[in-house]
Amino acid sequence: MKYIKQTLLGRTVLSVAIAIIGMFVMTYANAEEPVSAGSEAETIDVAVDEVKRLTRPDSELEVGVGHVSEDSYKFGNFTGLQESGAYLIGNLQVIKREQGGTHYLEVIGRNLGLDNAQELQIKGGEQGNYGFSFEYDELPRLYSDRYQSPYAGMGSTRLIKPAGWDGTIDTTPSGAIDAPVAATVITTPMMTALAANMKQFNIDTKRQTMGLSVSKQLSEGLEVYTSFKRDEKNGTRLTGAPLQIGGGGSRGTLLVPEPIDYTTDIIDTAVRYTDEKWQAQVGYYASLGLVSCISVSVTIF
Amino acid sequence: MKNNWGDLRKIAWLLFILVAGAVPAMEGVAATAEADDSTMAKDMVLRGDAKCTRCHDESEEYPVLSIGKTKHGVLADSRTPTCTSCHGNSETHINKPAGAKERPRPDRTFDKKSLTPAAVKNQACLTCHQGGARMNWVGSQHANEEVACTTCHQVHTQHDKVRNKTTQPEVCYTCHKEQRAQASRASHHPINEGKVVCSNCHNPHGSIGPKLLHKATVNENCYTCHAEKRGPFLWEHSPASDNCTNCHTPHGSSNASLLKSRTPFLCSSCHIAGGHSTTGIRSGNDLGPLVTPEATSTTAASQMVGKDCLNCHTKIHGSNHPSGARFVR
Repeated sequence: MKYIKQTLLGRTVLSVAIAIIGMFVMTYANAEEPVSAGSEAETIDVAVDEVKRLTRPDSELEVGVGHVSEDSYKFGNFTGLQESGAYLIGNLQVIKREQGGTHYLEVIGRNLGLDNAQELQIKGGEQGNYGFSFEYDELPRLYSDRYQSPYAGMGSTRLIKPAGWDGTIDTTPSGAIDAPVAATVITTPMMTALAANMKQFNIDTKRQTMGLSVSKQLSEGLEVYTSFKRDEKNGTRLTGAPLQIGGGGSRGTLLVPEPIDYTTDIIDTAVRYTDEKWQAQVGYYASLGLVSCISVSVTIF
Repeated sequence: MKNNWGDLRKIAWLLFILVAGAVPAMEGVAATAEADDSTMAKDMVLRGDAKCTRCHDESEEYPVLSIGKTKHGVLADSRTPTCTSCHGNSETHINKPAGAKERPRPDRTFDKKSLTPAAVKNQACLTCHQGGARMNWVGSQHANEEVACTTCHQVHTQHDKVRNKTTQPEVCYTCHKEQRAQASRASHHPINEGKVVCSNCHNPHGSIGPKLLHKATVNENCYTCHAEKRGPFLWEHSPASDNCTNCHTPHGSSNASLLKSRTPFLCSSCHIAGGHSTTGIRSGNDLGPLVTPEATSTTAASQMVGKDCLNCHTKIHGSNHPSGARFVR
């Protein structure tokens, strides 16, 4: 089994980030640079530009490249950086506010380009009137890339034994309850073929969440709000497949990849009233969960 | 891993490139339009701020002009505050009284040296920001501990750390040091990774539930993301339905699956009698020869290998199988 250093210091993640923070500062500076010094009007222009630079929202764009030295599921858990090699990453923050008005738009992107860990938010609306937002998020949950099993069909709801594995099952309920099944049932040829039949399978899940929300001020203090969120979780987790041979016979269990296919929809809507003296809120909240895979069948022998 | 929504990665990159290209163009238009405005207003950002900005600018410890980059700086919004609506009229600060050695501070200040009571500070914010998520602020743990809005929030900046998922935990950890340590343990929610952060579960502005959670109960809060654990189940594992924190600790644990202690001991802390010699697990006599000093066999008790009790009791949160009374299917 490959040993992987767990310390972050031991891991050489080299990253070079090219930050273009202040891009717009340069835009302003270049566009409004005075031709000659000493003119009072130009000095005022420079001052006005300086004030604008300091009082108008900035947008940022960040692009970088990085490198991961070795494959590691542990390192990639939640981060999406499980594979060795170079990767490209981008972060984005665009904030626009209407000059002389109240409209706004914000776009925020994080980890763009990273495998299964990207995030995007878009918010907009008119301040004091209405607002909307969209969110998308990915979350990788990596359990193990060292799991092995002789069964075919891993990741599905049906695991099938390798060809030629036709053992006989001793159903005599006379053995000790805790005696391992393998000691009495698995034949020597099957055990010989075990190593040749072992297959590696990654145990992981991925979440994808998408949300939409809208709010509207109906009058001073009165607001309606509604949101919808869908959360999907797909992949596999290790689960025990317990078995027992005959009534009171030998027991055993094997850990198999259980397919995960969850979908959760959340609807949240409310009417709020806020006054100096009192506040009220009436809402409706619904959480609708759907578990698509409810069983795994394993052909043991 | 299965991807039901197609390869959104490509879409994200496309959007990324488009916006990256479009933003400088948008800014260019804005710069051109604004170039015609050559009149320098006396007020720099907010209405009536000239009396403040004649002295205070962006070189302060708490730069004042950047409030213009925030929603608080949108003049077209009639609700937009002025300097004095938050800081008070501060007459003695503006016009230093004759004979005073030092200029008195403004009526309401929000920095670390401020002597303004938290309730007075907060009133400046609550004048507008009450209701909604802040409905339960009064009487909440943070309010009772005299935490001010500005203890966590920064107003005069475009980037309020606590409202950014990647930086928010650092703000909360300032006080909640135990949670900082827990979040660094082997099994943890992706808090430090900036994916599931404090405010995903907690509402620091007050709650009707425990621990300032968003929902009324711990379980209701957890089911927001872990709905498959909710049931309803034909066979209910009552401690799981009662409170997730009976077995799990939410911020981080040295045990797998955020468990409070290692299985099988966690299980045997309740199951002290009955099958599988749980009394033997508690006493250490039935853990299998491998785990005792005089081990001579190579076979550990099945409750001590793999996922321990969960090797067989896989549906530990509850089961809907007709034969699932013991959560094995």
